[in-house]
Amino acid sequence: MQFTTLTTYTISTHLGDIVSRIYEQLEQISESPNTIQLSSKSIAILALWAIQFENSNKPLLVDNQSFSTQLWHQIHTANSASGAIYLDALLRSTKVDYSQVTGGLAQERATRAASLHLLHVLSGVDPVSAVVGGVPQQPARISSHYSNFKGLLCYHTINAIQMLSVGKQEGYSIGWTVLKLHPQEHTVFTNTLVQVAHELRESQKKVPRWILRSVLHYLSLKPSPPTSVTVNCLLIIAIDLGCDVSGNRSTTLDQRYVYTKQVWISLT
Amino acid sequence: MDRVSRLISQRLNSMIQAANPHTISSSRKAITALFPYAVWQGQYGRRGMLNTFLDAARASQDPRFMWCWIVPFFTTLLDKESLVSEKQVAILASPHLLWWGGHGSGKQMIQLWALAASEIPYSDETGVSVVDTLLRIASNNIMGPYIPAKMWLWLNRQPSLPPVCAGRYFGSMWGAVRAARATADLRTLGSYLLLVWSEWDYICHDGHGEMCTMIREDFGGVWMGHQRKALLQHLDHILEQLDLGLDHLQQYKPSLKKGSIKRMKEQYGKLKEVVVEEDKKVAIALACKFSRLIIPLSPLTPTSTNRETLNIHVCHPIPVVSGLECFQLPSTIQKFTYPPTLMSSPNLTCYSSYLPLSSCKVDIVRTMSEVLLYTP
Repeated sequence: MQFTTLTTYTISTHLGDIVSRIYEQLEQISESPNTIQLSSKSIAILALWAIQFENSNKPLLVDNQSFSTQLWHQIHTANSASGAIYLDALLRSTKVDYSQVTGGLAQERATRAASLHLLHVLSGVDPVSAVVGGVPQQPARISSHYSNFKGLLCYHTINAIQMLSVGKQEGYSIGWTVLKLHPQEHTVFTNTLVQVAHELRESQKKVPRWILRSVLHYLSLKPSPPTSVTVNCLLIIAIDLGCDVSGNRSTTLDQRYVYTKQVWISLT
Repeated sequence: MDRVSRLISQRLNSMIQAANPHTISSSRKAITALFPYAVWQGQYGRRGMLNTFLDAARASQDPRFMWCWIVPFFTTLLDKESLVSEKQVAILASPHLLWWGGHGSGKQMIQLWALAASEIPYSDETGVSVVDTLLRIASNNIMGPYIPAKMWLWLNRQPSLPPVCAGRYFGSMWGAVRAARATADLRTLGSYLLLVWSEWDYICHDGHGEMCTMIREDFGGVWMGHQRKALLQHLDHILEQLDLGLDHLQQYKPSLKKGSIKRMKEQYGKLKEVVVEEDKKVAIALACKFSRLIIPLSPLTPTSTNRETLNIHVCHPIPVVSGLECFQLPSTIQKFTYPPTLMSSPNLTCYSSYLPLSSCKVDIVRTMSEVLLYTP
């Protein structure tokens, strides 16, 4: 099974499972009630945006000059089993340094790699065993060492996930004001939230609080968030209220792969 | 965006029309998340979503309808720098917020709320919202003392609280009664009781006891006769309404239960007893203090032709005329002239503020040889 196949397989069939695993792992993380915090579950879902990128079938471009040639090559060939194995090695490695990443495309690619890395850590999925066995069951070992994500587009997000994943979660507070999402992340993030909300609703479950809290956060911003984010937030509210958003949702989800380069200074 | 917005509005309206508070309340977090968007729409003159939000909040009958995480946004609306329209929205939504819960500085929020309330133009809607919120906050022993004294004056406007109004019940809690008493303003206290006592809600148990104490301690005495009269009239009205039965009341407040009616009858009946008891105490006290006045008046008859002007010398603002009312004399003074001593009395203002003297004309047939005179 190729890595991309695994990813697609996960999205189409087991997104709910992966999300559930992430929730379970992060369930124990305490949050300080006195600060405006991003739910730890929200952090986890941020990792899913990487899957969405992968699933969008965007052509993978390589920038050999900006980072380790080998890394980019492996990521470039991530549709092969070796790519998955490499990621597994990455997962088990002691430390990965992304700090030398420069250039837009390189940053984007590195961010994806790092997100996938962490996603697998958080979801407890062992990519290799998944590839071999077809069913992700064995939990992956979490590296006790920090990787350096400085230089990535989504540095704050990835770093937050890293902090949560390596066991430093206790006393580590991640608030919306601290977590500075990259402008490109917001639309993708809220798209993911719509998708998760919809899937949960379809399985007769309520839209979880952390998603609604994220919606509240976005809609409370001054100035107002970009239209795409607002629409996604309204869609989540509509889903929670039991509206039939199938027509509206497909339109929005079609737009999620549009790579907007909106500059949203207030949030960065 | 408009399509989704319309979809949400339609859904909310159908939920409101279904009149199932539980359904709306179970979606309160999502509806709360909608609030900032509704405010934003309102700023562009599209108040539809905002009105729907407020209708949903009222229909939920949930005293903590708005999710606590709305507090930071809510505070920005009340901020000094905010637009008047934003403050107005915050005031209208304020009854649906739980004002305590550790998600903000309660004292600061209450101060901002009070300031915002003073800056927006008065309307029945805002009056109801402010009073509703005031009573909720007052019920909390920690938050109540933070309410600025001037905010209590809003009660004197006597806004017409709707049948479903959580503030009314909150306002009957012990903490709220104590906070109201702390204002030491008898007019405000009277307004407070007239607002909190209603056929739509029973009174919180501990608050009921405190109210009985309040009537005895704050509404006793002869000079509170008119206040007691107003309270008695209000209590009679409530008891009459309760006598109409559950079916009648449920038309306006479906959540009322048979047990509630029974409990309310007991509570308001007890309060009436306390007020009447105070009246009797005053009558007895007057009978003792004004024996010279009472004894000569007792044989008066309306048919007597011996009419003279009644001069009452009062050296202290003891309302002798009110005392006469207490004894339910059949008639009233035909002519009432103030003796010079009274006119010059420094207490005259106080005296006339409690007694509408123009209406207190007792047809006195003077059989007394002496002028009614009381000197404490």
